[in-house]
Amino acid sequence: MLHDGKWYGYFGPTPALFRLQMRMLLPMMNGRWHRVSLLLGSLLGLAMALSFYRIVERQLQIDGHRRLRSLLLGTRRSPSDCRDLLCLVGQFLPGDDAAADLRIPSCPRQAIRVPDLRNASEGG
Amino acid sequence: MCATVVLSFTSHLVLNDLKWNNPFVTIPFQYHVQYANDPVRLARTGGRLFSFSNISLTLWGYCWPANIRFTGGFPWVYAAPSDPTIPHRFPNAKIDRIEPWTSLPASEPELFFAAVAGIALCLLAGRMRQPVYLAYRAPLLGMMAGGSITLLLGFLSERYLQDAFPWLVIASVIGVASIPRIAGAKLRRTGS
Repeated sequence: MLHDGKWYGYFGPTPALFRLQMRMLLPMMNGRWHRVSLLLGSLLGLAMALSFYRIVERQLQIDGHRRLRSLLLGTRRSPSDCRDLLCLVGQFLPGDDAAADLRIPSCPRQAIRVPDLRNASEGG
Repeated sequence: MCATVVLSFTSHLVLNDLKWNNPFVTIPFQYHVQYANDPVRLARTGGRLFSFSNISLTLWGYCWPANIRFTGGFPWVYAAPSDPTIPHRFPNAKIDRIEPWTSLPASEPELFFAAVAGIALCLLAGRMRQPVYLAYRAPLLGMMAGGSITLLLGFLSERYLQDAFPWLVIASVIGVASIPRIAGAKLRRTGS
């Protein structure tokens, strides 16, 4: 935005400062950091949710309900379930062939339809 | 807590006034490069990113369970299409853009309904004589307030659902963790 001769951005330059270092260190990862970022963010969110679940269990004086914990977090799935889950995560990653990049045998690249949302996020 | 609310609100107003010479405008679109040269788009939004008149449309969009699309192609579940006739159903709304999106009950039913149960438990804690839930009221209400800003936006989009995520996760944890506490012995045996 332009007002009184000054430019204003949504976030300013701060988020770019961290990314700038990563870009210089690993140039081959340009345009692919979002996948790592989403994965780490999801894992951190799961860990925090699990930690909070245990706090609530202690405060409510409830113990040992692993099935309910699994229901919330999906942490006790079989390996095949995890593979399908990764496939679906890849489906929603921004970009083009993220799921195929995960090299998941049950999800051939040609079987995945990825909606092109790259031009749909203008503004806002 | 009151001091935090007052300080946050005051600093928000001061920052708006310093930047735009108006404390009550957060993102004035007349200074936005994408809108300044597009009078139709500027008029469509009323010149503001946030508006209370958008609540009816966004509440319908994010809470109506039918806002999702099923097809025969993998992965069979898709976002609802951005139907251009939607804004006509809500003539007061100042909506700039509708992108493919899903509603919370449709795409995240487990989280959503568990979160509704969690917030109900916390709000009815006094009446239910369950003081252990009282400590969760303030953070939950804070998260709901933060997430509800999305309802004022002049956009409808899947990406804005993430604003509700803190509330969804924390409230659903409370709701799910409370199931053995409020359910009968049969469910308690199943869960152990």
